[in-house]
Amino acid sequence: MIYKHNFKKTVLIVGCLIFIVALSACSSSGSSGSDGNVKLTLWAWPGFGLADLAKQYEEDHPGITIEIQEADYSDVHENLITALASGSGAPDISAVDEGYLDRMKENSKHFYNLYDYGAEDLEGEYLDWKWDQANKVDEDFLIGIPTDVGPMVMAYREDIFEEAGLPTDPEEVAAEIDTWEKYIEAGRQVGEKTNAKMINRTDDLYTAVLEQGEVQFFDKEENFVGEDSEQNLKAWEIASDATDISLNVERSSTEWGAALAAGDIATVLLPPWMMQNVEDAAPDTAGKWNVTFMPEGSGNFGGSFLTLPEQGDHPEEAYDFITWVMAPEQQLEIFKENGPFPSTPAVYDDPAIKELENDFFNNPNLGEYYAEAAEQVVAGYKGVMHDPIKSLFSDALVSIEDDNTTPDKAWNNALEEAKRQLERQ
Amino acid sequence: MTGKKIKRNYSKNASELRSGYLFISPFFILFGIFGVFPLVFTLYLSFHKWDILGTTEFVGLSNYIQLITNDPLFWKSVGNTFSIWFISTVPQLIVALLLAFFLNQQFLKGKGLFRLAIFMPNVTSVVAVALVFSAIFGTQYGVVNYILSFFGIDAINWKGSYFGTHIAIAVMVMWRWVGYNAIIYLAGLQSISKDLYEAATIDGASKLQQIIYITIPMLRPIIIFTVIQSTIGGMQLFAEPLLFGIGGSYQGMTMTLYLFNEAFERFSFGYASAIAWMLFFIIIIISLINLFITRRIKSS
Repeated sequence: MIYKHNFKKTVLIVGCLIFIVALSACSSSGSSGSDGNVKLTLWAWPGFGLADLAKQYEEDHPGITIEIQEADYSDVHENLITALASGSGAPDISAVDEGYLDRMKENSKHFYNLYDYGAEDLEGEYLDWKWDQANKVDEDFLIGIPTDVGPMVMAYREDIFEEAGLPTDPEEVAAEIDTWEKYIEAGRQVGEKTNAKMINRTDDLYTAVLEQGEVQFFDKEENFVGEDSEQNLKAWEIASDATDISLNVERSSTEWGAALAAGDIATVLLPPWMMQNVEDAAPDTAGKWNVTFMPEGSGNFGGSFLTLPEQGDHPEEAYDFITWVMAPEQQLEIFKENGPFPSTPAVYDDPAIKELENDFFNNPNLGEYYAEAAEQVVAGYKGVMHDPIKSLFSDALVSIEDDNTTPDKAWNNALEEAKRQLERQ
Repeated sequence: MTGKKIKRNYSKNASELRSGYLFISPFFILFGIFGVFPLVFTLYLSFHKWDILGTTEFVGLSNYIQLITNDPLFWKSVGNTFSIWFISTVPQLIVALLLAFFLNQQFLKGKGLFRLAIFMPNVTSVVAVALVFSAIFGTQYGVVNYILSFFGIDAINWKGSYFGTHIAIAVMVMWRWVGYNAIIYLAGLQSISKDLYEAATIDGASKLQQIIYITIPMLRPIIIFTVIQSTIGGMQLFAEPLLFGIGGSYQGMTMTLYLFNEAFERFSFGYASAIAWMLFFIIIIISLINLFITRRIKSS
């Protein structure tokens, strides 16, 4: 009798355990209550500045709650891909960075096509090149609504430029250093006459030059063209020739901060979102910096999109929210709250951008420089494997700077490794 | 007597047998889901191409063939792993032994405090450790190079050379694990009878002779345990090189890091699975060598 009683208990306990395991294995995303309330989950990494606007939206739209779940940049993408692959657990809305965008576009069956919800009416509001990035090449498919952009400009230390005998006025600097060759020449001048180096590391120079080209590593049919791509060859040639003007310190590392604070780096090629990093790393250098255009036009570095994974139950509500929150006025609000740079040119004339002043970067027209740079951008086609392949070439440049190899060997190694990795894709 | 009775009772009643299995089933269910299934699925994947979002494509043994014949980066990561493991484990165990010996001395006061102090690094977050050590081993602005400059030694490119990166990562590993091993050795030392040392002292043996002829032979099983532990840890080295930076020549790339990059940066899950199985074989080989050596030590 006692045993039988225990047997029932055991079944109960085991049953409970299985239930718990089952529960933890599949978590459900956005649900709607019986009273018509809709909860939208949104995945993003820190820095989007959406929290206040989401609250405002909730107030204006009773019945809708927006839950923003933040995680690290790479975690958001890895979690999203895992959720899409496993068929459950994806949020209603997810931010996707341009580095992962082509992989998502390639698997667009996991996302709602925003053209089905009337997105074609919004096309004119966003920068053309940014809008194109969200479109599939061969189909009428829009995967996401643009958020911010990362047009690059050149920040430089006025005091170091002066010491090196270079101009210090932004317009004069832009006129004098208008090609990458002249940038390297100026860099050598800085190296001779001051204790500073022109740039932190050659791989950042490589990125900047590469981002100015339309064809980088892949053509629109996803063929690898890295060895013929003019822009890649050019970027490599310039960067591998620039080891003597580089300090060889990784961007955003502790050493980078120390170098900026010590005044050992004369220029930083940076998109708007990186301004804060420079300021945080070297607060004491405030007022010593100025900003001008990069040689040979601007390039884009970073920037994201808000997408609607197909697992979400409320695409219409989600669509309404993302198109509202990324409309020009709201993007301007985000920017005013120290957020990223808008992708909607209509607000570039707004005083908040035009008269953007910053005690750190000593340029009264800072916002105008960014706005003009944003319109100059020629966004190149990236391709699914862009980031891993690019890091091979960047690392190769670092290995040259570390004196572990010669430029020719490094190039051949990177190219071989790129082909090897693509072959097993 | 009672034990026998219970045994007989179990074999009698089938429903009791069932309840027994039910009691142990939670473990097996969890192990099945999180242990066996991934293992089998990894084997299945290793014969396929799969980018996780798309469809799987059967490719037979080609992942393994590529990995063995045409992947210098993988073999580099194997070499790095062994190099870092060796230069972190050997000094680590020697230092741990010396520390344990020192902590075991009669004259030492405040032993509890010392023991706590040398164990502290082990409970420190690896992320914090890596961040601090990255700053210490900075090439341009690091403390180590600054100190070396007093001795007229040129700055070492810790993050850019094989030698530098391996040493820096090994030092990080050592710092975290020396205390742990020292505490284990200390426990072993305290179980050695004092009579042996007394007898040796009477026979005129020096301290050094006592260490070599009494302490180390008596500690042999514990040394074997720590060697095995460090080997397992060394083969799985991941967080330290990831956070320190693997360098432009991939001199800090370890086997597990390579596997991770293949899966979560390049999304080649099939190939990553093949790497996982290669790791499995490499670790089996190392374990066999370990077993062989320990047997010989035991019998000698």
